[in-house]
Amino acid sequence: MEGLLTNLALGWSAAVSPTTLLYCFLGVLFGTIVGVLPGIGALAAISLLLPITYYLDPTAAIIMLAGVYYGSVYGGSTAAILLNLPGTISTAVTCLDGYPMSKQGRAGVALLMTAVASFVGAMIGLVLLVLFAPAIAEIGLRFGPAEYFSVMLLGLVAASVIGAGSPVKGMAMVVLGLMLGTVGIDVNSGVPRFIFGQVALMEGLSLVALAMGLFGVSEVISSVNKVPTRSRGEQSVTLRSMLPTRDDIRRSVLPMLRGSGVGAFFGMLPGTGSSIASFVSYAVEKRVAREPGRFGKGAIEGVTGPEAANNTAVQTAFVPTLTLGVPGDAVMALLLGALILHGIPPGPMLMTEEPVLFWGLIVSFAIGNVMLLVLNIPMVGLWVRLLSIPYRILYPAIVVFIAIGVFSVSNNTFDVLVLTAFGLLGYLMILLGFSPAPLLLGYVLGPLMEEHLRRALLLARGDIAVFVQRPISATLLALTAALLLWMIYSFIRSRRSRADGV
Amino acid sequence: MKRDSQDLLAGALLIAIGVSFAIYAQGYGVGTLRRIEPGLFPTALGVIMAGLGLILFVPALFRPGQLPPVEWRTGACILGSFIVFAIALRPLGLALTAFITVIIASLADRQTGWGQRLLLAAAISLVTVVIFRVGLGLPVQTLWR
Repeated sequence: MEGLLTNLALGWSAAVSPTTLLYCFLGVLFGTIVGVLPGIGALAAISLLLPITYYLDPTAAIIMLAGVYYGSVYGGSTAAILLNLPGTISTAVTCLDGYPMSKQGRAGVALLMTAVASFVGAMIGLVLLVLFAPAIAEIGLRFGPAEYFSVMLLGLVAASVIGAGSPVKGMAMVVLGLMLGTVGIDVNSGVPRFIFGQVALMEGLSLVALAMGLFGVSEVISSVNKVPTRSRGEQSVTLRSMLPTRDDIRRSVLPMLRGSGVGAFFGMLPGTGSSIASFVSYAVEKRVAREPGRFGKGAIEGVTGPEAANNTAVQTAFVPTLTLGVPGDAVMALLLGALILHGIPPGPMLMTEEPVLFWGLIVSFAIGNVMLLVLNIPMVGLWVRLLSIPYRILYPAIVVFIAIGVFSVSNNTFDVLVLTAFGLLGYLMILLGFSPAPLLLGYVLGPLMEEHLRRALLLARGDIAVFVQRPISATLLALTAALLLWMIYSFIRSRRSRADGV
Repeated sequence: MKRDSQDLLAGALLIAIGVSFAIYAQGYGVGTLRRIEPGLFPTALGVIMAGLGLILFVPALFRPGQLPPVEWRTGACILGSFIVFAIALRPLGLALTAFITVIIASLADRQTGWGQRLLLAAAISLVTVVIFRVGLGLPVQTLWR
């Protein structure tokens, strides 16, 4: 307990410096704006900010980027409730009951309860993060290359199986990401792979160009001409109108707690994160409710449960990312990439070697969430007005900023061409029904996985059984196999029911 | 639509990518499990991808489905604007490049008039120069030589 207090004190001193507070605030502010605006997600925003973070010290950089992440989750619900347009994937569920509530004139209540649920979820997630991180780091110290390979494999399979869309497509995206990760000089042998004579590719494809292309550019291409010019939010949202009734509060307590539980589970599982957490939480609430018919028509449980879930997931996703170096979801993969670029390899040693960074980050999460509570309750009117900027004015600016952002990473216009290629790929993927998030995970983990695979086999002198002989690795592989079996099982079940139904 | 053209195309593409990746990777040498060479991991990935492509392709032959509409104009305008950016930045400088980029990108939206377009381009170029050149000190020329 004392150790914890000393650590928190250390974190506090790091997080409460004026510069750090500023960057935390900028992060959550930018995150809220990005979350509110449909068409840009946390992924695109973080990739855009990555080049700027080079000028900052690593702690401030990560605090800001993390702020963008959990800030966007708060902001996304605002657009979902007021306009039935989810700002981020995980807030898509909030549309289902949030929008009906605003049509009933209860937008204010929905917004307030969402902010509260998000805050509660985030705080619970933070507590879990603090409790579990040291324990998992302990286990992580016993990880050899075989265990790392297996946990990464579990994460990648989880990402493809549980994510949106068909698992086969998800898995194909993971594999594509792994493939793209092999571009560049092979660390073990010095042989340049897949560079096709381009010197600029020797260090691999630019992470920022890839992320911005896949998420930002493709998003813009599919949103132009489709995002309607919105009129101002139909109702004014006053502070008075936000007060919930006692019934609302009573109905929300348990969903928030249940949602946090669901969120904690999916957040900590490598490869899955806030989107799945919110969907599952909605399903749970509907299953558990006494009158499931109320869902879809403005049931407050359908809003507070998932919102708590996705915020808890966002916080707990940092557990595997920081302690094991295995990202909890695609955004974590990007943050992981950012940490590596700053020269700070995440892993079990992070807590001991960079305690200032780790604990500073934790404390900044708490501060950031409080800031968000302020930003999202009284300042909601501002965001509503922001939503009325027509997309056709916004997107050319986005295009220019993306281009400059990608260029500025290495001062290289080649990267902008890489960006274009990935923009094309991203759009193609949208057309063919693939989702890009598993690709990002595969890309960031690819080189690491390959290195662990080779090292494990080297140590075992070519004996592939080593992966099942070591207990932790075997357990992880068993979980992976179980996941694959479950996927095959549910695939067969859906095929059978489709055949019967037709 | 008798066949699911979306998944058919997707599956075929995956098979093509997987196979060509694996074949190209042979050039780096595959080696054995005991002595792994650079081509092993890529080859394995290529094979897995081709397999996944097949799993996607075959069932798509037997069920209906459609391809969503392709936004050719939008795609060309947006992607084109990035390419122009890449080519124009060094010779023309930040301000003019940003201006041209906005013009081309905004061509994707059918509702914007030319007056609005030019105004938007001017505004965004100004903001861009202020933020990135003046504010952040990006090492790029503002104007052409």
